[in-house]
Amino acid sequence: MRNPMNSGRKKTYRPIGRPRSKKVRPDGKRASRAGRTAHARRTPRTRGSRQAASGLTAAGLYFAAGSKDGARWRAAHPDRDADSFRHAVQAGWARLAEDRPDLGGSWTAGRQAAGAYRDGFAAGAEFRAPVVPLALKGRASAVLFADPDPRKLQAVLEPLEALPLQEIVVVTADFPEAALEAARRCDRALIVHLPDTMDPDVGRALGAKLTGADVVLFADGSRPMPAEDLARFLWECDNGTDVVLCDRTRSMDLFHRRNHALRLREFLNFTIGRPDLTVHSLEDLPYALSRRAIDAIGPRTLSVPAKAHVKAVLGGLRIGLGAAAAGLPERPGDRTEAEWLRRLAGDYAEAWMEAMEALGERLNFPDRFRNRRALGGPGG
Amino acid sequence: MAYFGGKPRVRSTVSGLRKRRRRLPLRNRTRALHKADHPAASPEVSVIIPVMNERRTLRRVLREAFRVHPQTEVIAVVNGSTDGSLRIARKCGARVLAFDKPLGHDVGRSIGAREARGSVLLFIDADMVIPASRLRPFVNAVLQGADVALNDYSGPTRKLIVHSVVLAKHALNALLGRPDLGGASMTAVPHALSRRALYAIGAPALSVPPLAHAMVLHSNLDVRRVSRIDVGSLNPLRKQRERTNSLEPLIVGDHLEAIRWWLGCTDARAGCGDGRERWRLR
Repeated sequence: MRNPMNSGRKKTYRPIGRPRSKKVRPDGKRASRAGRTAHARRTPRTRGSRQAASGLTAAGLYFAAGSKDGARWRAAHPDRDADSFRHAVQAGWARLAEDRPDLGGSWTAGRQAAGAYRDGFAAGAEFRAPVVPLALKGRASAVLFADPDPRKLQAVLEPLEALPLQEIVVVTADFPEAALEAARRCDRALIVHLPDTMDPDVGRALGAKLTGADVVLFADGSRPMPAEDLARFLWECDNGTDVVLCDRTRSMDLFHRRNHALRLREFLNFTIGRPDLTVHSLEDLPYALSRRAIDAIGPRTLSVPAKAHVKAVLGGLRIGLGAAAAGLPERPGDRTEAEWLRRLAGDYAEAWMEAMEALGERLNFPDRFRNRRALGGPGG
Repeated sequence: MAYFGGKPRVRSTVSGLRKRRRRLPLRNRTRALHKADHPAASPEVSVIIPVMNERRTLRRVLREAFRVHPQTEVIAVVNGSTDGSLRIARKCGARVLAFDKPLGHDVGRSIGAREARGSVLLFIDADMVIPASRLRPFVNAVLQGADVALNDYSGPTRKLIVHSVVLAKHALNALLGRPDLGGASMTAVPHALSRRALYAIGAPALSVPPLAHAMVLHSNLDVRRVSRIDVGSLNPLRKQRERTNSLEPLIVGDHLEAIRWWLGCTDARAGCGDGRERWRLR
């Protein structure tokens, strides 16, 4: 493992996801945040207007293709149900994206085109249901530990249904019948029901064990997230990132205002040689894992997220960021601050133990200076 | 002659005092005479100061150390000094433990603590002058019942990314169930220990201050933040050392060593329990 501190010269690092400061524009001027946005906004508008003059925009092309596919689908499906609509949009978009590999190059470019295709499809089909067209190379599934509140569970499942998922593994515990009913309404849901209390982390680990998909999205069963944001996790993972973490960059407060959990995360990341990850961790939901990551970490280890995080980093997996999640909970569940911190300390004990078993008790931070022979006992 | 592992040379202050009377200012002479009158009296406070080439500040640091309490012994652990620090320490009346070669970061604290006779041990550094009036609260806290009196200094934290040592100190306190201590730690001077605390952790642990810190927290001793001394601004900027031989990785590693010790104390979760029923995953 590379240790940035051992190379003699002090290196600075840029937190992952944070833009480089002092960015210089091609014209040599230093771009401020506002300036850069304005610049970026200007560029596509000029190109768009030029294309509009020639009669066709890129988005217009995808809209037209979608409209054609939509009309065909409408003719074949007079009963028009939402699930078949979603399936047709995803299949149509996947065919289109196969011929246009450039669409996979950047998330934003692909999104504009996919949005236009979906809108065109809906217009042609004269039918609309929430769907996010996403062309994935592998099979994807989602795993979530359900919330006992059926309304919350439904709110979480709806955006997931808009994604091209093979299955949605919904792990439930001793929940009321209404919650199970909400899960059953989702066609793609694979319900794992255990009639006892269950820890959400264990529930998700169990879900990971049951799914064989190439890309697995671990969603928060209590906090709905827009389908477009969830799609970002799948897309990043499908494009070669093994571990896609929730992006906290924008919501990161100054250090003295951060909670203790974030301090532990940041120090753990620093000590395992990834200071650039700062407060990002597998402890935040949602996250996505590739099959390679699930195999390397092991589904059982996923029940202790901090330990799974260490295994991901030390296993040399590619780690990146997905979408930002708003309103991440300060601490999960109904535990008191002290109880929560105690359990967290236990998790981190396991996490550091994992790292120390691999890299020695001081990891990559040796002590070459002290004359410990002059002592004796624990320090010596 | 280098001393490794053996008993260090412990010089009596008495021979040094005779010469010193002629040279030092009157106020120091008075205290020296007082000490000389009661050579066998057991000191109440031992001030321990590791010294390595600190000629610039040493005289003033020792002067303030003697003023902390009426019955004070000052122990200077002079190691690897070539700038005359040894002579200064002897002249000022400190008990001097001399080592020709450098002992390494903070090893002097252990050596000094082993020789200390006071019921309160105050640890300071020789490179920053802290007035006695600001050192006394640490000693007084221990005299009034605390086991460990810490400097309430957390380092600069109003930032997005803090220095790794600041981060390490906060994380260790949070991990050991004392987040209320913020970034206060035995890594920072000044701090004072009771003899009870010294017995609990043993002098050798003091060489790795985060380890000693973890040990006092784990032993359920009375650990308090006493007063705030901004050592960040007092500490001279050592740009050359930071460039060539930064202490940052050493101190981060020390925190890991502390965590490793803590992990070894109980079970795989360091006694923190779990509540997850992992058998379901078999």
